Amino acid sequence: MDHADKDHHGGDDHAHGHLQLDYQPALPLTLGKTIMWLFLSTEIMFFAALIGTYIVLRFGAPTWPTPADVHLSEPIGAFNTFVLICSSVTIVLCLESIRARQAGIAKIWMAATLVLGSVFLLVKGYEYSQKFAHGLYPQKPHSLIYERANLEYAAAVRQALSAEIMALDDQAGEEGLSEEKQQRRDSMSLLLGGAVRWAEDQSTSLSLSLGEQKAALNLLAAQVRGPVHHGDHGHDEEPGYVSELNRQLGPLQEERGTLELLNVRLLAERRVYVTSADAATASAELEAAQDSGDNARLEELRQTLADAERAVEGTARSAADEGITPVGPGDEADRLADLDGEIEASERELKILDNRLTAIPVLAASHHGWNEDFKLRLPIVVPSGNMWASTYFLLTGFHAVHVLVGLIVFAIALTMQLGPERAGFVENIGLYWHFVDLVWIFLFPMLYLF
Amino acid sequence: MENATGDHDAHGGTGKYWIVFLLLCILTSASFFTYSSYWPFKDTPSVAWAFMMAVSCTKAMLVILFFMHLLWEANWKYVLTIPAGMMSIFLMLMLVPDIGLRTRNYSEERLLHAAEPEVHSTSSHGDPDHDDHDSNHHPSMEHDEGEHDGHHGGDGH
Repeated sequence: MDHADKDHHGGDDHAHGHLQLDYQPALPLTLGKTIMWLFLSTEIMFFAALIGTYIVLRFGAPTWPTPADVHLSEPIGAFNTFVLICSSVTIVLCLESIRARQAGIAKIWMAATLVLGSVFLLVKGYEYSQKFAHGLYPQKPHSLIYERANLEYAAAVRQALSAEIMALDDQAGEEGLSEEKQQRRDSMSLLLGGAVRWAEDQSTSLSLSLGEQKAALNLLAAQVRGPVHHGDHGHDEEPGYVSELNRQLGPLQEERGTLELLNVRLLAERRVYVTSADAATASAELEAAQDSGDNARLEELRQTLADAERAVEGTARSAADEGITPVGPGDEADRLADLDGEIEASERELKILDNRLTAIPVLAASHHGWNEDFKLRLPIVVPSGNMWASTYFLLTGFHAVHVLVGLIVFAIALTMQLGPERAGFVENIGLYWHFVDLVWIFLFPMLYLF
Repeated sequence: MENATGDHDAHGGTGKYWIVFLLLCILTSASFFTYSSYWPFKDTPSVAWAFMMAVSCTKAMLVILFFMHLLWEANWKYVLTIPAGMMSIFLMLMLVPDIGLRTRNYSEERLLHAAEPEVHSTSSHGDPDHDDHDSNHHPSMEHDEGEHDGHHGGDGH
């Protein structure tokens, strides 16, 4: 400000109050620099639009993933910030060397800027590859991001797992599965039956509260995605879902015991009806054969009837021990049909429980999420992850393109003799580069630290 | 080609650039101050965000004033920077009603598919630094309900 004012009024001081008009044919700066600054002002508005939209989208979102949720590393971001700051210093020192007529030194600084810019892009590329490895893409079909753990999500996981199993089965049809692949197939069906279907059943079970239904789906989502590490600490710690799974073991085993007892009772009751029906059949047959005069056949039928009556006595006694009171005569057929239905249902329940009980130790042993532990690419739940991916890749992508353009210009500049006549050129590309740095200064905290 | 002031600064030496560089490095690490245990506003992340934006603006000013030499430029610099800055702010403000406040106008059906704050049942200890603290209360609540899972299939017999 002071400087600028002095420039302005300097003429007046020397003229001792006389009006002395300086004829200035243009702005007090070179044409190249004027154009560069005009270009930069459009760039300011371009990035201001991007960053402003990001801020509004981010703070208007119902929730936003933490850096750890989306595998963003703050130290890597800080390192890249440092790299860009260094490159800003090297390009400004390059300009100073040119002005001091040290072309050789200027070239070294220019080369250093090129190297630092390349380092930035390499680190950026590494970060992108980490995101892609975890299925964080801005767009389906590559993106594995789901907004919330609902039935739609569970169905997507089930479909992905089924597809995996079907692919293995196709291989098995051709040449049989190797032991390793058979193991993989077994664990896939364990996940499918003992976890995914279980969660789907739980979340639609009318006997559970809404909270319990949601908790079942959240547990599934947590297992697929694995623990989210905040910061560097706690990598060896047991993820939260492990204790939750182990907590389920006791009640489930208890439930299985109850169900098994019930099943035994149902089978005993069924036997009562089956044996009495057998006895009735045997006595009817004996009566029908009474007149035939076939003594051997009669003896055989008598024996059958005696066996059947003994069986009736036996089953009746054990039923009485169980406290079962058979229904009155005439209703046996109905009751038998009911019993068959109940036995089928309880056996189905038992199978589901057995699946779950076999699966829990395997599930609890998976400490890094299914996708990592079982080498899968199952859908993951990252609330607001889609909006995050769109904004993150758009902002960093546009910035990376600007870095790339800068690197190309630096490479061209390196082929030149960096004498004093190049000062204007280097100043202009320096201005551009500082602007790229400036954008990153805002992007870094907003993308990595907020 | 260089104007008088430019030449004057050129032999001012490169010392000032190194000082700016040092300041930029210090300011970058200052952003991480919000992560340390000395940061007093753990419960209100917005304070941390404001602090980091203030740090960023300071860094941006340092780069603009010294590296981009705007400190020594004539008054044309205001013509370029002030309108561009104002338009940037207006643009952001204009997006607020329709985009920033969009969830206020969500229909019931839209809300069914909207993201909801995550239940961190995955991390046994939520990170105190940048977790929104509301969500930390959910896991225990969900666990309590989840313990009664044993009722599965209780009906149907």
